[in-house]
Amino acid sequence: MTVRRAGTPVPQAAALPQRQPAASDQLIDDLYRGHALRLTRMAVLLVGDQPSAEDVVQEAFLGLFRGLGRLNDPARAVAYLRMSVLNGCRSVLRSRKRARLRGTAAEYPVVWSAESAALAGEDRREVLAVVARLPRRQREVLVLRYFLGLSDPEIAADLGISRGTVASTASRALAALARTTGEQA
Amino acid sequence: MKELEEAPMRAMEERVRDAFGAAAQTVTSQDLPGLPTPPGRSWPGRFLRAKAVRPRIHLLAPAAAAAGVAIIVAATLVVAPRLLTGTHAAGGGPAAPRQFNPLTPNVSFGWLPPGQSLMSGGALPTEVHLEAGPPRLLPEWQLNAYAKGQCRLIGPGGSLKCTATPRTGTTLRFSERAPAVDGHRAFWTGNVSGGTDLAWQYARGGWAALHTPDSKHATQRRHTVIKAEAIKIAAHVRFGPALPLLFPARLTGLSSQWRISEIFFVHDAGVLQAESYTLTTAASRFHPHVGDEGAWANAPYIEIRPAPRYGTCTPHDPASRNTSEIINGYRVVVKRMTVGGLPHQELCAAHADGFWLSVIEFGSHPAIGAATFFKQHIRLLGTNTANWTKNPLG
Repeated sequence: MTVRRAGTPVPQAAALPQRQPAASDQLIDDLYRGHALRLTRMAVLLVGDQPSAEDVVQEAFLGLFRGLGRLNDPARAVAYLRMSVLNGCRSVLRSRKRARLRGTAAEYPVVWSAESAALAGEDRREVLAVVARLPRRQREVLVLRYFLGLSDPEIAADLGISRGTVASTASRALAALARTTGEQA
Repeated sequence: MKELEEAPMRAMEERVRDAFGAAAQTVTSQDLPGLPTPPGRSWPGRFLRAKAVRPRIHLLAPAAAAAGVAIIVAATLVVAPRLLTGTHAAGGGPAAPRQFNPLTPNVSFGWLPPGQSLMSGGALPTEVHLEAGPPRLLPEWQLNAYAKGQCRLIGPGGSLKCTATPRTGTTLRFSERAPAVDGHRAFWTGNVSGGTDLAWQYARGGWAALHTPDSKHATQRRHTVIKAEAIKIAAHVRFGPALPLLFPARLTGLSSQWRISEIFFVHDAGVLQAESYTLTTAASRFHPHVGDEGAWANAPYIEIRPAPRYGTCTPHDPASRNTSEIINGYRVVVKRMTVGGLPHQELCAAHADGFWLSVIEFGSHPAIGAATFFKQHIRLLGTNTANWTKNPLG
């Protein structure tokens, strides 16, 4: 483990120099402190429940631990984590789908469900429930754009699609939301 | 699909933002679990990999560290012949090496799944680790081979406790018996990723463990494939001459008491390239309460790797006093601070003959200070590996 130095500022991903500090435990600690909450919240929006979201984020950090020595560009560590979380969320949702088909689903209530009672506001519940039923790409674009606040080029890079596709996907998602939740076009 | 006009679209965006924000707030920082313990924490080799980037401070047994190379019993082990049938405890076969030589870590993968190759590894007298995976991606497999006596069974075959250094160790809890590996007993063990790892007794007194790819969300079929691959990888692990380990610098003018006691390397262009290593002598002293894992004083931590194009010696640590100097024609930064009450000095050169270089020293009066070490004892050999050396201390 690293020698901890008091007062070391949390590095911003964009300012990370190349390679040399990336694999330090301090950096991992900093990344966890700086990004785990936000990533977990993102995962909650995608998978619906906190335990699954925490699992996904923990897995993402474990993956970063294991692969740090081979991460060519440490400045991409946050993007790597974000993509790992996205992939982890997809896996969770796929597993759930299979489990539902087999009749073996055992899921936590999603935060926007009535039984969860974690979220106040019927309108919010309705919006989130509709988002959860959107196609995967639309759901991911909305979360990356309106929760993380990523730009369309960043979303395009994360999802491996073009900027135009990001814009059109978001537009279609919003239209679907509006149609379903009663927003007037 | 009909798209929204601008105003309703903005209203919908606001509703989405509001809903997302509210849902996100259901998770608070108090809810979060701690930083996950990586496999590397329980797989002692992992810390060496990370050390390649910034040397970590941890314990090596002083005697082993100082005398390790001198008394190395090279790992010329030949795994028990395949004539053996059934599972046995490797009791009658050849013994595992008492120590590994960090300069010639004689452990290698004999087989890996298609498209995968050795990526990196590390060695200390008690343990060798290797990582493998697809090119330019993250490692998927990690092999840890322990020297004789570093692992012991606990309970009636219930778990295996392995210790690479007095401060780092792992307990592998057996979940079920695995197919014999080359005739030797083997066990599946649970891992933190929800998958199964493999532990097997590769020779008398010696155990090895193979960390498998993440499979928490894998299908049953994928689990089966991973297990089959793990058995095949384990059966083909070779304990004998491996790829040459080359150093990009010669350490000159040092007395014969200095030893390289641990090392991290990467695999590139068909050779193992040493990236970081620690030098110790009998005079090296361990300070267990410095940092998380303690620190060696009078033991240079050296890291030399090809310089990234925009590599720097930052980030600047506000706790350190930095001075910029020119040594041997290279611009270097010398950082001085106190860590855990122990003076700490680090010399960093972001661009030295194509290398990024760091020398870290702990202690009030190290035998050779970081700047002196760089000035008088490091001769860089250039970035062409054809000019590198197998004997950095020679």
